[in-house]
Amino acid sequence: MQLNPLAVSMLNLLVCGGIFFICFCRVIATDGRVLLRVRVKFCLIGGTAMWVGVSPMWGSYAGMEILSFTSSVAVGLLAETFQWRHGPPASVRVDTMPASLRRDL
Amino acid sequence: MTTPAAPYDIIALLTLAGGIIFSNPQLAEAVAPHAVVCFAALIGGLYALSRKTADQEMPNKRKKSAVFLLRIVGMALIVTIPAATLIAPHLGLEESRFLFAPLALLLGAIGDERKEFLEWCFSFVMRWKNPKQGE
Repeated sequence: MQLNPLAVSMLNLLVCGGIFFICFCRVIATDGRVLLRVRVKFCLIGGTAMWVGVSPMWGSYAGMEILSFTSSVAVGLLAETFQWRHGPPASVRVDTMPASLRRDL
Repeated sequence: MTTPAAPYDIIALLTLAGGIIFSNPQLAEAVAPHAVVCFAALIGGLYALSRKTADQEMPNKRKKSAVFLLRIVGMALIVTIPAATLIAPHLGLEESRFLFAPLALLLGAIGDERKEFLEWCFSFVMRWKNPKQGE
């Protein structure tokens, strides 16, 4: 079955919009006390998700491969929702980390 | 010949709207450099947002953060391309477009902390010029 590339791109845009929203909500729940690598992770995932989502604007249509990858990223972020329900979990915060494991990055 | 029925499901409607917006090559050519600036500034702006103090009880936090991002991306859209055009000859670059993404990322990451960034740059330059005074 040959799917319309524009329809797949539109679905991809919706999924990428969801990824951006999740990353946006997590970014605003963080501050300097959260590990730098975790903050950078959500910034990059959120920003590039929007980039991929609107890429049809310059002729780069998403195929099923891109859609399945972005859907997997969305599921991965949703799977952590329980840990982030009250803000950053202790495992990513510098101030609650055991001293032996403490890394500011 | 009968005309095809209008789409009723949401995906078909989005596909139709997308086809109107996304299939214009002239639009794509005009939008592309600004899109690069926009998304680089978005990533930088998200990083600036992640540095701000997280007050879990602040009302309308999402709305304020969204306005912050819009402000940062808007500023980057206005400032980046002229700044890149001014800076590129001093760096020996023939085309300024190579600076769009890094400059937009930097402007987004600085966010509202322009004063702190300038102070840091000044102290970095002073330490670089006078290393003995920094010890």
